[in-house]
Amino acid sequence: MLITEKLGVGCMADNVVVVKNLKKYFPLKLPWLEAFLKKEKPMVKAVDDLSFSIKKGEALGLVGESGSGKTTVGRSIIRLIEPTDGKIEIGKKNIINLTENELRKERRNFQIIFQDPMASLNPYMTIGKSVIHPLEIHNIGTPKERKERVLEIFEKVNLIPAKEFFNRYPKQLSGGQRQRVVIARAIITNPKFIVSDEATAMLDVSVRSQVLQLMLEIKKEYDLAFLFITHDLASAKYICENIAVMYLGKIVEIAPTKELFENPHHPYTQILMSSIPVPDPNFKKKKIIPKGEIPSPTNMPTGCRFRTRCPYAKKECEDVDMSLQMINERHFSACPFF
Amino acid sequence: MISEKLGKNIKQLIGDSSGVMFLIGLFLLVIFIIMAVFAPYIAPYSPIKPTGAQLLPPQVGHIMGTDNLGYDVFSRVIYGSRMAFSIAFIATIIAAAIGIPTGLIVGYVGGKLDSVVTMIMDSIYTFPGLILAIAIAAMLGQGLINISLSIAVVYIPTYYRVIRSQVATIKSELYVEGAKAIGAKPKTILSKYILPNVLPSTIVVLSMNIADAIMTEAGLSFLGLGIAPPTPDWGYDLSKGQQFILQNDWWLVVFPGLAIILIVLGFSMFSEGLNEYLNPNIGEKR
Repeated sequence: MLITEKLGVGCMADNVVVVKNLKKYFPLKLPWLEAFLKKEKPMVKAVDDLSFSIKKGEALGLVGESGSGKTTVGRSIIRLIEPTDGKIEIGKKNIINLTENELRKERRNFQIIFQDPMASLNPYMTIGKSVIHPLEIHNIGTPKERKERVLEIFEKVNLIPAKEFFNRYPKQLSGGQRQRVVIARAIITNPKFIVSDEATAMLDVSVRSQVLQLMLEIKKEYDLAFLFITHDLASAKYICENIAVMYLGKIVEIAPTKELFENPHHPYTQILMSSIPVPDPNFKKKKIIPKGEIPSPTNMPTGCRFRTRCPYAKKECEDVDMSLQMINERHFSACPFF
Repeated sequence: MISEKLGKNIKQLIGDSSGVMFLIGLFLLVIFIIMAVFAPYIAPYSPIKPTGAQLLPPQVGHIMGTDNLGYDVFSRVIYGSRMAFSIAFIATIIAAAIGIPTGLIVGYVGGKLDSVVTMIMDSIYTFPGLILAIAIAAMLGQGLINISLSIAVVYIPTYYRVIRSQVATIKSELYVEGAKAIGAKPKTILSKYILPNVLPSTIVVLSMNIADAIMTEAGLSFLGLGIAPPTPDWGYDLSKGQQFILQNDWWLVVFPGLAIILIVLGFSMFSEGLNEYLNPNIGEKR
């Protein structure tokens, strides 16, 4: 908790999103006899004690390999799945205490963009109807104003001619266009905060940069707080002011983007950095390759969770706790030895 | 414009065997529907008045012969289609009206409600359809609505099962989660996001069930649990006709029987073709 307060030093008022000690444990399914006999049910700790904050108009990148729990973070922050424990504030409102009804009303203030744009649009709804629906749900404007607003947003996300696109079905669009529709739906209620869950991962490279550019534009224009979940460090670098690196449900390092790329502290971050390809055939760089696979979250290593794969692991790592250590005012890392 | 579109579709349909099947089914159904709608104009005689000598074999004037009371078999077959259609439609509509919403809600809510309702539905489903219908019909008695009700009960689990299993898969789709994320109420999610996606498979089940319902209705009438005579009904005519089969009066059984076979065949082929047409993925999955 101390860390988040430090992270927001001096400008607490600007924080749109404040997450403190977020935990999401999934109970493990056991055969019924075993479940009956065991007193303590084993849990998968998908997200374990995460804290961070995002300021107005800023993006926080959440990077990590698959299975690190980054998607779970994105979904529990906006309560698409119920977090086990923790505090979440979005725009000064405590999200955790809201009832179902209050939460539904509050949802106009935070939105999510999913990875697969085809799957996130109802195939039996025209895209116009899909995008107008949030306005209908939250009772914003008259039907005529709503339609005008949708056309306006369509033009903003470069779905031109907007009137023609209004009556098309998702299957008639390309992948990039679909993701633009999803983005349009996310911003139509003027939210304060958007979670982008690997939003560009399924697009091909040429379209990806356009969609990234679009996200950057809307972020600036609407002064949005962004949680940008990705496994692609290059896209995170492009969009985000700060980057948090996740490993097995924990943030191992959090720092401003430039600082993280220039001066990665945690061994895991260093490995990630060394995996980014450099577009220069003569460039020989030292590649650090981690040992083995990501451990099963049901059977987590004691102490530092990364020690089983860390090239610098030593005996002391077995009983170190993974709390973030301050490197400088805005740079924190979970490795006390490095 | 419309004819062009229709032409394209028919061309597409004839392209494979399921298309031909669909067209034959449709053709049969159209004939039966015309028969039912225009019965008074097509039938040469009244179906409930003696119109000639008893047990006449097929001949000019009585192309399907007459029965033991001197009724014209052809006229009774024509009018019988009305009864078959009305009972089948009413039964199917009742079954769908109960089965579809139950499946939607239970599938969406899940959990304990799901296990309880599914157990009840499964226990109904495991009963042989005709036997269950007989039991209920015996309790309710004769009459159009009673017979429709007893047939409907048999088919509620079919709808329930199809819808519930579909909803269970669709509710974890990303667009349902997306609807939750924009703040849609469960009611809206069910009606706008889930229902349209399960509807195509429902239409197929609907047309298959009509075929089944016609058979069950014929079975009930055959056993004397159907419509009160002398209202023309194929099942009843069939049971009456089989008393004379030993005298070689074949026309009493063959013509109502043929009508039942053809209408059921028509619906089955139609629904199978419709299935391929509405769910193009099914072919790939097989």
